[in-house]
Amino acid sequence: MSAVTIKDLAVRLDGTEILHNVDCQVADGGWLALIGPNGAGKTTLLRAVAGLLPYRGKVLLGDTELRAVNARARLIAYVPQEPVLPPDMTVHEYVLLGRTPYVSYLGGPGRTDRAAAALAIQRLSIDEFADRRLASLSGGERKRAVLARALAQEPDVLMLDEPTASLDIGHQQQVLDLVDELRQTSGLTVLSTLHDLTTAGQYASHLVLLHEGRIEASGSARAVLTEERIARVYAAHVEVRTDAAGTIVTPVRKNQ
Amino acid sequence: MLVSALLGAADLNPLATVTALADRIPFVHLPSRLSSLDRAVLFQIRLPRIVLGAMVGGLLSVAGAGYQGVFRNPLVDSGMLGASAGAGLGATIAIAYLGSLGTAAVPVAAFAGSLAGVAVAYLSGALGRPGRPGRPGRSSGPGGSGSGTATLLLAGVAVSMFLTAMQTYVQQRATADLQQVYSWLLGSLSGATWQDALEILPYSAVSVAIVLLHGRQLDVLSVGDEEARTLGIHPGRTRLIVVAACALAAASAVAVSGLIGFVGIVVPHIVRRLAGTTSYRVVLPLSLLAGAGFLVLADTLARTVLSPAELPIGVVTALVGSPVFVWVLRSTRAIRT
Repeated sequence: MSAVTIKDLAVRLDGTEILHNVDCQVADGGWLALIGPNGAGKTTLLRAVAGLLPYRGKVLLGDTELRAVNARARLIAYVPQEPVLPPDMTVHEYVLLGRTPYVSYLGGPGRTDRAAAALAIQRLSIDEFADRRLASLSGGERKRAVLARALAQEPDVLMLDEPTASLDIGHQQQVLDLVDELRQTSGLTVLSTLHDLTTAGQYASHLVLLHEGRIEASGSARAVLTEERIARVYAAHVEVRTDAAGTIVTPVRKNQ
Repeated sequence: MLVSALLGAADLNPLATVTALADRIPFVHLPSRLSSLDRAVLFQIRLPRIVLGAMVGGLLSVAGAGYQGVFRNPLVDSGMLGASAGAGLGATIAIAYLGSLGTAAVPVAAFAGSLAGVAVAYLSGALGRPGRPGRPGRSSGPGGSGSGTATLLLAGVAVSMFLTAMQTYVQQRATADLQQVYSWLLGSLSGATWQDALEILPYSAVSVAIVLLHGRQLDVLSVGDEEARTLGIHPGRTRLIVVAACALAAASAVAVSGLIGFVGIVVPHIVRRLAGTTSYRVVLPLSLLAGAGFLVLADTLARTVLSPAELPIGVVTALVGSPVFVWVLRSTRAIRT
């Protein structure tokens, strides 16, 4: 069964249709990466699935269509590209916010919620700075704090918009390895956008290439990432090699 | 508060005052040497004024903190969104044109004007053309202060300017009442009665209870509307409820005290600094208490420094509050809202 099924989805912003009749499925426990040039509609698709944009068509989680904000929040955790981090909130308080969908309107977090937050903090090995303020964290530490908040939501689906943006190459790998480990150990389904094509192929089990609001190609990295297609969609010059390390996309400078 | 009860133009014997107060505690009977005149001063003039001052200070501070949370903006105070300007216009109209009804009309007009001001500002800000959704992921600014809240605040500024202009016009037309309008605008707790306190009690209790109960929701809102939504709350709905409750709290305060500035913005910030947290579950209740204490203190100074003459309390809150505020800002670590 698919964890997320997107059927005939269209999104219109300010009178312009950004996404046209998108159909795709995310396998239960899989990792689907949305790739495509700037403005292709990757983030818009994520935001529609997260319930942040009005859309036409259907988004099914399992086999049910969700409309209620709260029900959605218990099943989907969404991490935007640049999360808002209240500077003076401690990591612990911030992770506890992930329990919001489970806390009654006027109530406060209970024992279960504190336990879930503590577990998320432990899973991401951020215990040692749980009492520090968010403003004092480094870029990599912030990413872990945000992932801990998402994990505290106990979601079925983890949605990440450019999880590696503004991280150096080492931290990029650490974050992606971490997400993959969470996916495998917690049975999470991951739906993310990823900028880097090689990385997308290395971590995601399924790639969806978006171009001008439509699905251009979908499938494994080997099937989707071809030199001809990347040249056409991105207007880029690349060399694609497939070896034991996966499908490697290397930019090539023209006239040299 | 006890000190405030002891200080004043009329000299009350401290020990006698304490015993007189203790005598009022149920099941405690103490003979007091306080004369009946002194008793009247204590129970009919000073105590109602202290109680009302505490209520007004608490209301203004909670409203200020609530607005700061809802708008994720540290510069917002209880008079925002047309609340003060609306109250000013209402009171000025009452003083200039409804003089025949006596002074009873002024609080009612101020209360109604304050609520109407916020309602107009809220409607013009919220019902305007919906903000551009903008580039995905970037519809809320770097601080996550959302275009919706900025529009609302700007609408509040526009409405305030409009109402203030109308108030100035009415005031210029009725120069005979200028003094009375002016002293109302500066705010005062003189002439406070138990009746005043009783009349605003229901509104105060309801509004403060609503704001305090929304502390956790305000904490969730601090990650921005969009992420708050993915955490399962309705930012627009929460904002409407908290703004309505804060408006009611501020209107209740303004009705009985006129325009007392500074409290709603300074007290929550001092509380954040001293408590070392921005969590509204902590900041809101502490602001209620600190605001009550601050205003009673300010009022005590207002009526004793130049005794038997009185300083306008708005002058005292600013004169005492500003240096204290600067001192707190300098001596504690920065807390960003």
